[in-house]
Amino acid sequence: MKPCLSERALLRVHSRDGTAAEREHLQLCPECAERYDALAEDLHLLRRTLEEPEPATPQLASRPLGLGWVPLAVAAALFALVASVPWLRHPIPAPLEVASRSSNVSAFAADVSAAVFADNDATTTVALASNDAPYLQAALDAGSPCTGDRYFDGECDDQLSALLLESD
Amino acid sequence: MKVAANEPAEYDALYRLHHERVLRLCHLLLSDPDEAHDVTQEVFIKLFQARKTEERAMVWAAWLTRVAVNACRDRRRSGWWKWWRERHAEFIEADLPGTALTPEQAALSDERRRTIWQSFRELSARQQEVFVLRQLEGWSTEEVASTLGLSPGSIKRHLYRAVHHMRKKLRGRQ
Repeated sequence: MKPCLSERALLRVHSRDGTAAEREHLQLCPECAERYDALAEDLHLLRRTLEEPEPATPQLASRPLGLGWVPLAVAAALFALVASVPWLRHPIPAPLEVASRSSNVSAFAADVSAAVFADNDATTTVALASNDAPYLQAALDAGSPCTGDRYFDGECDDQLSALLLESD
Repeated sequence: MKVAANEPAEYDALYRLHHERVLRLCHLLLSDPDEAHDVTQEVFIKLFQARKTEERAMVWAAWLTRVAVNACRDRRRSGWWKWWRERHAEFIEADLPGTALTPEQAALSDERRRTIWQSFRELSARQQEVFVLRQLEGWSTEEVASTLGLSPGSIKRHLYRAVHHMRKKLRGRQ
Protein backbone atom coordinates (compact mmCIF):
# COMPACT_ATOMS: atom_id res chain seq x y z
CA MET A 1 0.00 0.00 0.00
CA LYS A 2 1.22 3.50 -0.82
CA PRO A 3 2.09 5.98 1.94
CA CYS A 4 -0.67 8.13 3.30
CA LEU A 5 -1.85 11.14 1.34
CA SER A 6 -0.53 14.57 2.16
CA GLU A 7 -2.83 17.40 3.13
CA ARG A 8 -2.28 18.86 -0.31
CA ALA A 9 -3.36 15.61 -1.94
CA LEU A 10 -6.41 15.36 0.28
CA LEU A 11 -7.40 18.86 -0.77
CA ARG A 12 -6.91 17.94 -4.41
CA VAL A 13 -9.23 14.98 -4.01
CA HIS A 14 -11.79 17.10 -2.20
CA SER A 15 -11.60 19.70 -4.97
CA ARG A 16 -12.14 17.02 -7.63
CA ASP A 17 -8.60 17.50 -8.89
CA GLY A 18 -7.16 14.32 -7.41
CA THR A 19 -5.76 11.46 -9.41
CA ALA A 20 -7.35 8.02 -9.64
CA ALA A 21 -4.57 6.58 -7.48
CA GLU A 22 -5.20 9.17 -4.75
CA ARG A 23 -8.93 8.47 -4.76
CA GLU A 24 -8.30 4.74 -4.63
CA HIS A 25 -5.92 5.11 -1.71
CA LEU A 26 -8.45 7.17 0.14
CA GLN A 27 -11.03 4.43 -0.16
CA LEU A 28 -8.63 1.85 1.25
CA CYS A 29 -6.90 3.83 4.02
CA PRO A 30 -8.98 4.50 7.16
CA GLU A 31 -6.44 6.97 8.48
CA CYS A 32 -6.52 9.06 5.30
CA ALA A 33 -10.29 8.75 5.21
CA GLU A 34 -10.45 10.17 8.72
CA ARG A 35 -8.16 13.04 7.79
CA TYR A 36 -10.21 13.60 4.66
CA ASP A 37 -13.41 13.81 6.70
CA ALA A 38 -11.78 16.32 9.03
CA LEU A 39 -10.70 18.40 6.05
CA ALA A 40 -14.18 18.25 4.53
CA GLU A 41 -15.71 19.24 7.84
CA ASP A 42 -13.37 22.21 8.19
CA LEU A 43 -14.02 23.36 4.65
CA HIS A 44 -17.74 23.11 5.24
CA LEU A 45 -17.37 25.17 8.38
CA LEU A 46 -15.25 27.76 6.55
CA ARG A 47 -17.76 28.03 3.73
CA ARG A 48 -20.75 28.34 5.99
CA THR A 49 -19.05 31.00 8.09
CA LEU A 50 -17.85 33.05 5.15
CA GLU A 51 -21.27 32.93 3.52
CA GLU A 52 -22.74 34.71 6.51
CA PRO A 53 -22.16 38.35 7.47
CA GLU A 54 -18.89 39.16 9.08
CA PRO A 55 -19.18 39.47 12.87
CA ALA A 56 -18.50 42.82 14.47
CA THR A 57 -15.28 43.15 16.40
CA PRO A 58 -15.66 44.10 20.07
CA GLN A 59 -13.22 47.02 20.10
CA LEU A 60 -15.21 48.93 17.53
CA ALA A 61 -17.50 50.80 19.86
CA SER A 62 -14.66 52.09 22.00
CA ARG A 63 -12.81 53.69 19.10
CA PRO A 64 -15.05 56.26 17.51
CA LEU A 65 -12.63 57.79 15.05
CA GLY A 66 -9.01 56.96 15.82
CA LEU A 67 -6.08 59.08 14.80
CA GLY A 68 -6.30 58.63 11.09
CA TRP A 69 -6.92 62.34 10.61
CA VAL A 70 -3.62 63.40 12.20
CA PRO A 71 -1.37 62.80 9.16
CA LEU A 72 -3.82 64.66 6.96
CA ALA A 73 -3.95 67.60 9.34
CA VAL A 74 -0.16 67.78 9.60
CA ALA A 75 0.17 67.61 5.82
CA ALA A 76 -2.39 70.39 5.38
CA ALA A 77 -0.63 72.58 7.93
CA LEU A 78 2.75 72.05 6.27
CA PHE A 79 1.28 72.84 2.89
CA ALA A 80 -0.26 76.05 4.17
CA LEU A 81 3.04 77.03 5.78
CA VAL A 82 5.08 76.39 2.65
CA ALA A 83 2.56 78.17 0.48
CA SER A 84 2.65 81.26 2.69
CA VAL A 85 6.47 81.64 2.79
CA PRO A 86 6.78 83.75 -0.41
CA TRP A 87 3.98 85.98 0.73
CA LEU A 88 5.59 86.46 4.14
CA ARG A 89 8.96 87.31 2.60
CA HIS A 90 7.53 89.89 0.21
CA PRO A 91 4.47 91.39 1.80
CA ILE A 92 2.18 93.25 -0.52
CA PRO A 93 2.84 97.06 -0.20
CA ALA A 94 -0.75 97.89 -0.90
CA PRO A 95 -1.48 99.61 2.46
CA LEU A 96 1.42 102.10 2.04
CA GLU A 97 0.38 102.98 -1.45
CA VAL A 98 -3.15 103.52 -0.31
CA ALA A 99 -1.94 105.70 2.52
CA SER A 100 0.25 107.84 0.27
CA ARG A 101 -2.53 108.06 -2.24
CA SER A 102 -5.01 109.14 0.40
CA SER A 103 -2.63 111.87 1.71
CA ASN A 104 -2.12 113.17 -1.82
CA VAL A 105 -5.82 113.21 -2.37
CA SER A 106 -6.39 115.06 0.87
CA ALA A 107 -3.82 117.71 0.00
CA PHE A 108 -5.23 118.09 -3.46
CA ALA A 109 -8.75 118.39 -2.08
CA ALA A 110 -7.61 121.06 0.35
CA ASP A 111 -6.00 123.06 -2.44
CA VAL A 112 -9.08 122.78 -4.62
CA SER A 113 -11.32 123.70 -1.74
CA ALA A 114 -9.27 126.77 -0.90
CA ALA A 115 -9.24 127.89 -4.51
CA VAL A 116 -12.93 127.33 -5.07
CA PHE A 117 -14.29 128.71 -1.85
CA ALA A 118 -11.90 131.64 -1.34
CA ASP A 119 -14.01 134.87 -1.13
CA ASN A 120 -11.12 137.31 -1.64
CA ASP A 121 -8.60 137.61 -4.35
CA ALA A 122 -4.93 137.28 -3.71
CA THR A 123 -4.11 141.00 -3.62
CA THR A 124 -6.77 141.70 -1.01
CA THR A 125 -5.47 138.91 1.09
CA VAL A 126 -1.91 140.17 0.77
CA ALA A 127 -3.01 143.76 1.50
CA LEU A 128 -4.93 142.71 4.55
CA ALA A 129 -1.99 140.71 5.69
CA SER A 130 0.32 143.68 5.11
CA ASN A 131 -1.93 146.12 6.97
CA ASP A 132 -2.32 143.81 9.93
CA ALA A 133 1.37 142.98 10.14
CA PRO A 134 2.52 146.00 12.20
CA TYR A 135 -0.23 145.46 14.76
CA LEU A 136 0.57 141.81 14.98
CA GLN A 137 4.27 142.56 15.37
CA ALA A 138 3.50 145.16 18.02
CA ALA A 139 1.31 142.70 19.89
CA LEU A 140 4.11 140.18 19.77
CA ASP A 141 6.63 142.79 20.94
CA ALA A 142 4.18 143.98 23.61
CA GLY A 143 4.49 147.47 22.27
CA SER A 144 2.67 150.00 20.05
CA PRO A 145 2.70 149.82 16.29
CA CYS A 146 5.08 152.12 14.45
CA THR A 147 2.77 154.74 13.02
CA GLY A 148 3.78 157.66 10.87
CA ASP A 149 3.63 160.09 13.77
CA ARG A 150 5.75 157.92 15.99
CA TYR A 151 8.23 157.33 13.17
CA PHE A 152 8.74 161.02 12.56
CA ASP A 153 8.94 161.62 16.29
CA GLY A 154 11.78 159.11 16.33
CA GLU A 155 10.06 156.64 18.62
CA CYS A 156 10.40 153.80 16.10
CA ASP A 157 12.36 153.06 12.97
CA ASP A 158 10.04 150.79 10.95
CA GLN A 159 9.59 152.97 7.91
CA LEU A 160 7.48 150.46 6.03
CA SER A 161 4.98 150.12 8.88
CA ALA A 162 4.89 153.90 9.28
CA LEU A 163 4.03 154.34 5.64
CA LEU A 164 1.33 151.61 5.71
CA LEU A 165 -0.36 152.84 8.82
CA GLU A 166 -0.14 156.41 7.65
CA SER A 167 -2.18 155.55 4.62
CA ASP A 168 -5.05 154.34 6.85
CA MET B 1 -28.90 46.31 -29.95
CA LYS B 2 -29.63 42.67 -29.68
CA VAL B 3 -32.79 42.41 -27.59
CA ALA B 4 -33.89 45.96 -27.07
CA ALA B 5 -37.54 45.14 -26.55
CA ASN B 6 -37.22 42.84 -23.58
CA GLU B 7 -33.83 44.05 -22.36
CA PRO B 8 -35.00 45.88 -19.24
CA ALA B 9 -36.93 42.89 -18.02
CA GLU B 10 -34.02 40.57 -18.59
CA TYR B 11 -31.64 42.95 -16.93
CA ASP B 12 -33.96 43.20 -13.96
CA ALA B 13 -34.16 39.46 -13.79
CA LEU B 14 -30.39 39.14 -13.84
CA TYR B 15 -30.12 41.83 -11.23
CA ARG B 16 -32.56 40.13 -8.90
CA LEU B 17 -30.94 36.78 -9.44
CA HIS B 18 -27.30 37.75 -8.98
CA HIS B 19 -27.13 41.01 -7.08
CA GLU B 20 -26.93 39.48 -3.63
CA ARG B 21 -24.35 36.96 -4.71
CA VAL B 22 -22.15 39.56 -6.39
CA LEU B 23 -22.45 41.85 -3.38
CA ARG B 24 -21.40 39.05 -1.06
CA LEU B 25 -18.51 38.21 -3.34
CA CYS B 26 -17.35 41.84 -3.39
CA HIS B 27 -17.68 42.06 0.35
CA LEU B 28 -15.56 38.96 0.78
CA LEU B 29 -12.85 40.33 -1.47
CA LEU B 30 -12.96 43.91 -0.21
CA SER B 31 -14.28 43.55 3.35
CA ASP B 32 -15.62 47.09 3.23
CA PRO B 33 -19.44 47.16 2.83
CA ASP B 34 -19.43 50.59 1.21
CA GLU B 35 -16.72 49.62 -1.23
CA ALA B 36 -18.54 46.38 -1.93
CA HIS B 37 -21.73 48.27 -2.76
CA ASP B 38 -19.82 50.66 -5.04
CA VAL B 39 -18.09 47.89 -6.93
CA THR B 40 -21.30 45.89 -7.21
CA GLN B 41 -22.98 48.90 -8.72
CA GLU B 42 -20.11 49.26 -11.20
CA VAL B 43 -20.44 45.60 -12.10
CA PHE B 44 -24.13 45.89 -12.89
CA ILE B 45 -23.58 49.06 -14.89
CA LYS B 46 -21.09 47.08 -16.94
CA LEU B 47 -23.66 44.32 -17.28
CA PHE B 48 -26.21 46.81 -18.56
CA GLN B 49 -23.72 48.13 -21.12
CA ALA B 50 -22.44 44.70 -22.08
CA ARG B 51 -25.93 43.43 -22.79
CA LYS B 52 -26.32 46.14 -25.39
CA THR B 53 -23.15 45.31 -27.26
CA GLU B 54 -22.59 41.61 -26.67
CA GLU B 55 -23.78 39.54 -29.59
CA ARG B 56 -22.69 36.14 -28.36
CA ALA B 57 -24.71 33.93 -26.10
CA MET B 58 -23.32 34.60 -22.66
CA VAL B 59 -23.40 32.84 -19.33
CA TRP B 60 -24.05 36.01 -17.43
CA ALA B 61 -23.57 34.46 -14.01
CA ALA B 62 -19.97 33.55 -14.81
CA TRP B 63 -19.49 36.85 -16.59
CA LEU B 64 -20.69 38.75 -13.53
CA THR B 65 -18.37 36.80 -11.25
CA ARG B 66 -15.40 37.42 -13.49
CA VAL B 67 -16.12 41.14 -13.80
CA ALA B 68 -16.69 41.44 -10.05
CA VAL B 69 -13.41 39.72 -9.20
CA ASN B 70 -11.52 41.97 -11.60
CA ALA B 71 -13.25 45.09 -10.31
CA CYS B 72 -12.42 44.17 -6.73
CA ARG B 73 -8.82 43.58 -7.70
CA ASP B 74 -8.64 46.97 -9.40
CA ARG B 75 -10.12 48.60 -6.34
CA ARG B 76 -7.63 46.89 -4.05
CA ARG B 77 -4.74 48.01 -6.22
CA SER B 78 -5.56 51.67 -5.93
CA GLY B 79 -3.17 53.30 -3.49
CA TRP B 80 -5.68 55.28 -1.50
CA TRP B 81 -7.75 52.17 -0.89
CA LYS B 82 -4.76 50.38 0.59
CA TRP B 83 -4.06 53.34 2.80
CA TRP B 84 -7.64 53.57 3.94
CA ARG B 85 -8.05 49.85 4.39
CA GLU B 86 -4.95 49.50 6.55
CA ARG B 87 -6.16 52.17 8.94
CA HIS B 88 -9.85 51.53 9.03
CA ALA B 89 -10.18 47.79 8.82
CA GLU B 90 -11.46 47.55 12.37
CA PHE B 91 -14.30 49.97 11.74
CA ILE B 92 -15.30 48.62 8.38
CA GLU B 93 -15.93 45.19 9.75
CA ALA B 94 -18.38 46.54 12.27
CA ASP B 95 -20.73 48.03 9.75
CA LEU B 96 -22.56 44.92 8.87
CA PRO B 97 -26.23 44.18 9.13
CA GLY B 98 -27.23 41.49 11.56
CA THR B 99 -29.20 38.64 10.12
CA ALA B 100 -30.93 35.68 11.62
CA LEU B 101 -28.53 32.78 11.93
CA THR B 102 -29.33 29.22 11.07
CA PRO B 103 -29.12 26.69 13.90
CA GLU B 104 -25.74 25.69 12.54
CA GLN B 105 -24.36 29.20 12.74
CA ALA B 106 -25.95 29.67 16.13
CA ALA B 107 -24.04 26.65 17.30
CA LEU B 108 -20.81 28.27 16.29
CA SER B 109 -19.40 30.49 18.90
CA ASP B 110 -18.80 34.09 17.96
CA GLU B 111 -15.17 33.61 18.75
CA ARG B 112 -14.79 30.84 16.24
CA ARG B 113 -16.54 32.83 13.56
CA ARG B 114 -14.26 35.76 14.24
CA THR B 115 -11.26 33.49 14.03
CA ILE B 116 -12.35 32.21 10.65
CA TRP B 117 -13.02 35.66 9.31
CA GLN B 118 -9.76 36.98 10.67
CA SER B 119 -7.82 34.11 9.14
CA PHE B 120 -9.54 34.79 5.83
CA ARG B 121 -8.58 38.45 6.02
CA GLU B 122 -4.99 37.43 6.63
CA LEU B 123 -4.82 35.68 3.28
CA SER B 124 -3.29 37.42 0.31
CA ALA B 125 -5.67 38.96 -2.19
CA ARG B 126 -4.95 36.20 -4.67
CA GLN B 127 -5.54 33.47 -2.10
CA GLN B 128 -8.84 35.08 -1.16
CA GLU B 129 -9.91 35.18 -4.79
CA VAL B 130 -8.99 31.57 -5.38
CA PHE B 131 -10.66 30.37 -2.20
CA VAL B 132 -13.86 32.28 -2.90
CA LEU B 133 -14.14 31.18 -6.50
CA ARG B 134 -13.09 27.63 -5.82
CA GLN B 135 -14.86 26.89 -2.56
CA LEU B 136 -17.74 29.35 -2.36
CA GLU B 137 -18.63 29.85 -6.00
CA GLY B 138 -17.89 26.25 -6.87
CA TRP B 139 -15.84 26.98 -9.95
CA SER B 140 -13.46 24.39 -11.33
CA THR B 141 -9.72 24.88 -11.20
CA GLU B 142 -9.61 25.52 -14.93
CA GLU B 143 -12.34 28.14 -14.77
CA VAL B 144 -10.61 29.97 -11.94
CA ALA B 145 -7.29 29.77 -13.74
CA SER B 146 -8.83 31.20 -16.89
CA THR B 147 -10.54 34.03 -15.03
CA LEU B 148 -7.52 35.02 -12.97
CA GLY B 149 -5.02 34.47 -15.74
CA LEU B 150 -3.02 31.90 -13.83
CA SER B 151 -2.05 28.31 -14.45
CA PRO B 152 -4.09 25.49 -12.88
CA GLY B 153 -1.06 24.50 -10.84
CA SER B 154 -0.83 27.99 -9.43
CA ILE B 155 -4.51 27.91 -8.52
CA LYS B 156 -3.99 24.65 -6.64
CA ARG B 157 -1.05 26.10 -4.74
CA HIS B 158 -2.98 29.23 -3.77
CA LEU B 159 -5.92 27.14 -2.65
CA TYR B 160 -3.76 24.83 -0.58
CA ARG B 161 -2.00 27.72 1.15
CA ALA B 162 -5.29 29.42 1.88
CA VAL B 163 -6.92 26.30 3.29
CA HIS B 164 -3.80 25.36 5.25
CA HIS B 165 -3.61 28.80 6.84
CA MET B 166 -7.27 28.91 7.76
CA ARG B 167 -7.32 25.40 9.16
CA LYS B 168 -4.19 26.10 11.15
CA LYS B 169 -5.83 29.13 12.74
CA LEU B 170 -9.02 27.21 13.31
CA ARG B 171 -7.25 24.28 14.89
CA GLY B 172 -5.03 26.53 16.92
CA ARG B 173 -8.04 28.16 18.49
CA GLN B 174 -9.68 24.89 19.42
